[in-house]
Amino acid sequence: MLATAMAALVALPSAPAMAAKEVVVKGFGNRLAFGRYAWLDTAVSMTDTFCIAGTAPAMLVSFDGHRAGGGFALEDGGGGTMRYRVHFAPAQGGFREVRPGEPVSMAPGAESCSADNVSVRVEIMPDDFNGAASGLYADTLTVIVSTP
Amino acid sequence: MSTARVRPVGGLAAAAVAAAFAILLTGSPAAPATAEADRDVQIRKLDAVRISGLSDFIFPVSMETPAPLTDQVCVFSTASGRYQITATSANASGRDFRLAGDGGIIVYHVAWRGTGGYEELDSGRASDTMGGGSRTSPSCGGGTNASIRVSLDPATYAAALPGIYADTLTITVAPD
Repeated sequence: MLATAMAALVALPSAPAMAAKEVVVKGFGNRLAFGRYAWLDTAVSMTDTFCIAGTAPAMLVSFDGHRAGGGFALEDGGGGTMRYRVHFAPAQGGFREVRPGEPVSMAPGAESCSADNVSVRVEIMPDDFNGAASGLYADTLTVIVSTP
Repeated sequence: MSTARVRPVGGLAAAAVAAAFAILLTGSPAAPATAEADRDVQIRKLDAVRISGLSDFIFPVSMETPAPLTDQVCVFSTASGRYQITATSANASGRDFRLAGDGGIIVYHVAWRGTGGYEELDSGRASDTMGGGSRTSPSCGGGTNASIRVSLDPATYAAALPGIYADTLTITVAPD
């Protein structure tokens, strides 16, 4: 029995690899307020940075919100919608447009958030804006980060 | 926790065994971790209007007062298709629209039709509420939904000397 016990103790060094994975999202809570427009001749966009970190070597990042026509949509509270686009730049790589719920794989490159390492850009196209009825349009954009 | 088969051998060693097995027995791959965060996105859309399709009005040379000319236009209004029209003559006198030339002036009239019949306009004064503008297509889907009519005043036309008379008519559309 003493031998069994020693064997178990020898196995301890491998235990940290099985520790619970951690995911950190920091700095994604700010409001993206575009302001007031009557007409758009060109697209308007807002870009912000935030941090994704964790102990896993790879993570899946996806975004979700109100959906319309396979894309993201702002709502006016009266049934009206306005499409918008979300572009995501992972820690390594440039911006790419993402669809609601579409996962993007990335290596966080850090176990804690000491600095922003990813970017999100929200864009509204003229055709989507100009044809909409007047009003205040809003949506809650959620970022979901998970380990595979 | 499955330590039942490990019989204590006493003291510190027993505790170490129990701890070691506790870690190993949960040693299947770690459960996936998930984190979420929300942020609000918003934009305010103000009422927007657009008018397109206006062309010049060229009356023919005529001894008699030429017949009225009309033009079909597109009006887009996010205010449920409603709008107001203001037509302003560069040579206006009071509320009169006027063509100016070397031989004097010719008064003309401007009328607008959205839905229903034509409504006569005064220079520089907003019309009553018009309807029928496109609510969704700034280009009216390639069609038209309003018309403007310009007619010359027979009395001032008859009194004018031969010549060329011109004016710049500015049409302003506003959401209603």
